[in-house]
Amino acid sequence: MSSVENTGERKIVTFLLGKQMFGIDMSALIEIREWEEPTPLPSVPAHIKGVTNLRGHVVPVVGLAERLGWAPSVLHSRSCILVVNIGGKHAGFLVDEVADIVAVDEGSIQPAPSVESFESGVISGLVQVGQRSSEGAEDKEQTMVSLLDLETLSPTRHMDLAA
Amino acid sequence: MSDDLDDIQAIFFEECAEGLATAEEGLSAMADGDASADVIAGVFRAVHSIKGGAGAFGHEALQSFSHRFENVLDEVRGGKIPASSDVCRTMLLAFDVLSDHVAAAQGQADIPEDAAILAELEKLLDDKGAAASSAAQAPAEAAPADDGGTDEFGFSPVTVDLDDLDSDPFGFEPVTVAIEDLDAPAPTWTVRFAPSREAMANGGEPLLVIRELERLGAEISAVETDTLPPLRDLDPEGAYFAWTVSVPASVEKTVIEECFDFVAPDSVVEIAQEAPAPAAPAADDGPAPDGPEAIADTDAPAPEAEAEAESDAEAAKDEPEAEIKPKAVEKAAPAEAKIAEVVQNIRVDVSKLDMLLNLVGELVIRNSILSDRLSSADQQRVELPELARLTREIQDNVMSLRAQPIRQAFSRVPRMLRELCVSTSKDVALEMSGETTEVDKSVIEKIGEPLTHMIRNAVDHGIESAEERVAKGKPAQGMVHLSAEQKGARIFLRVADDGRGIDRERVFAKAVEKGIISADATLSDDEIDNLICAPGFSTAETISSISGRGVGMDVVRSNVEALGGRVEISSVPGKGTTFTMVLPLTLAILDGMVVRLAGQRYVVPLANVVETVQPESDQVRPVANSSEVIDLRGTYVPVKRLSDLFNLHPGARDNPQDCVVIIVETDAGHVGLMVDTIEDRREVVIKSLDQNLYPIRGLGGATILGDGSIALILDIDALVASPSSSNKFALKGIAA
Repeated sequence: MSSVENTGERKIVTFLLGKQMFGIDMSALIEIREWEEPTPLPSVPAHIKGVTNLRGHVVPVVGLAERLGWAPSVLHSRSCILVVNIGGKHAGFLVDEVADIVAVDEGSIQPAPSVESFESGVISGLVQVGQRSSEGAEDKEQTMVSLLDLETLSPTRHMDLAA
Repeated sequence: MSDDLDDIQAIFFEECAEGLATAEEGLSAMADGDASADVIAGVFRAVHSIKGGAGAFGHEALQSFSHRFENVLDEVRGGKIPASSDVCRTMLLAFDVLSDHVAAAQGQADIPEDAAILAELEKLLDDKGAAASSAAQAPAEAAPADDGGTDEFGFSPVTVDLDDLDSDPFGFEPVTVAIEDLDAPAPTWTVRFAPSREAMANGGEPLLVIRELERLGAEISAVETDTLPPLRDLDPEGAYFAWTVSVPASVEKTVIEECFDFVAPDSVVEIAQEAPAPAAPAADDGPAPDGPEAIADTDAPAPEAEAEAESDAEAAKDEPEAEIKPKAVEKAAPAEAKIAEVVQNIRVDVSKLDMLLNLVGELVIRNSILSDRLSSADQQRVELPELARLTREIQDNVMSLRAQPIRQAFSRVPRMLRELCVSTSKDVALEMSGETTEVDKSVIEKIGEPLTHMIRNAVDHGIESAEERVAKGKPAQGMVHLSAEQKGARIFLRVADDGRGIDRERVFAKAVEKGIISADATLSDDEIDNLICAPGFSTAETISSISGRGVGMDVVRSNVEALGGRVEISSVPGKGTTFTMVLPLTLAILDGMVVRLAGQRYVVPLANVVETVQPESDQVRPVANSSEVIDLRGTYVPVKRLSDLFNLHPGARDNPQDCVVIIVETDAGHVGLMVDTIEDRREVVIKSLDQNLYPIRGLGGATILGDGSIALILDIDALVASPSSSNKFALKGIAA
């Protein structure tokens, strides 16, 4: 994020989970993959759905819905895995549909209200973005995007705390 | 430029560390009675290079100490001081001080107090007697003579006893005589030194070299300045001058050469004696540079090589000119051969090795994907097995690049133990085994700290005082046994002491007092032993400087777990305690059996597999509610269903006759592991789970199979030893 000091602009990848729009920093994204059943692991929390082969690396796949305490996502054709880099460790997150890549102004991000039903720290901020309508027309409809804090969601986080 | 210098200095300190390890190993071997010439020479060379580097970088305290240590070693090497146990002890103490000096030079510590040990070293030198000292030069000078003499007759340099020289079968001793003759008229050495243009950019400071020569009594006789370019072409960091220096003949050539130990590789260094010797330049310009000029190599090229080149020049002087040229060429060849015998090293960034290892892992996987995709007829073609073999060999070689003997991690232990013995006033002997076990570099780097804690624990808490031991009927001297062994994909690192064992009552009471467990908890002996690994636990009644701030074993456990390993404790009251670190051979290759269970594939390390059984009816019988045993030729072996251990499809229980039981060997004896089918036997590349996740108990990692899917590798010992697994989780829970 050091390059944004002048513009104050952040690139966000937005995606749908349930009916809600979430976003993560573009810089953390490694790739978007089609859903593929991961290899399940024994004795892990339910939201860790298993591990998958990412170009020779064994990468855990997290059901983001379960991780947020929701019912598991129903898989469909647009389900995909966002593979991200969290402090050097890779992880995949299952989301319902990838929406867009948008640039938002750093100043327009509001802090997440603490009344959220999420575990504290999961949502790092809220921002309004213009969403493309289905025709791709010029008129943009404003949508609220919840920015996720990947550090908090990292599957290794509980381990780090315990250590 | 200063960055470059720092880099080069960092390399010097790396070499110091290696040198110190070599020296300590050698000295320990000497203390154990192996005072062979190779061992002593190894120690000497190590100390010598430290001295050389220290001089080049201006670490004067380190240089002067290593110089005096080297003097003693030189006499030991020459047989003037016997390598008796007293002498070895003094040298070990001197070694400890030398380590401190190195640490001080690195700015990690203050310059140690070395007066006492220097006095002891001086005493060794004095004791060897005045008579010996006059003869001290002889063997060193005679050695080159030996080579020169034999070459004279076209012999390849074979080992010839020095004593044979006197009764040389050819009655020819030209060089021995020559050296003495040369020594008499004392012509001075003429040294021409032209640093390479990049010398200063590479951190070589010609001034330091010249100063060092001056300290030997040298005088600058000429400076070649005509190489200096016009100002506009001048590179301010370039070195342009060349110096001609005359050094008194009393200085030995090797001493002069030492001054050039750290000059940049392509610098020109010519050392010649004043006496007109038309042959000398010829020898220097020819292949001979492998001799005198290779001294730029900081890894101390074999002294023989230098000596031989020297004898070239000197032998040449006494011969008719006609013979000289062919001889110079001819003789340079053995010099090269000797250099080749010395192991040559190249420094490589570990991250490059990591990259290489990953790529090779990919290659192996692609190779097996390819083989899976081909028809069976194609699989029989000769190219494929050949490709597989090559791939395999590349992989083995890459692995061996990263594998280091665990000796490196063990090497600091002897000194630590010596110091612990002093500070605790206990007498503890150290026994080591399995030092040659090869472990991945990353593991070696990370086990140092846990190992230190475990040794401290063993000495501080485990071993009793001498009086207490005698009162208990034990030998007064305690014993710590440090061992390493590889079993399957794991390294077992044990620290065993013969001390008092774990006082379970006290541990229990302490744990209650610290609030780690409740007073009414019922714990097995194993569980109590494991309490000492709980965070914030320490039984030391008084906190000593050595151990016992209540972090020791906790740190050990978390470090080992971070490596994907585990710590096991076994203790017999009054007899001793054994701590075992079970560590993975990270990213190693594993010979495994691929099994299938509930649609998933798992890999059972072949090292654990004893046999596989297709059970007949009634061969597997239920015992208690959920336990089963298999009747194996009259012996009952407990059976565990992998599906139960992993909690897959609870409730459903397949008929044992439709399954396969794999009899595995574990720490707890033989156990039958029930799976659906056995699919294949193959080599797999271990990918550790903690690279992107965290280690999971019961799993040794994962691997990628030929079709790109992932199979989990089972850690049989951890999987079967379920009681301690629940114990571990219980402790985690309590700690949180």
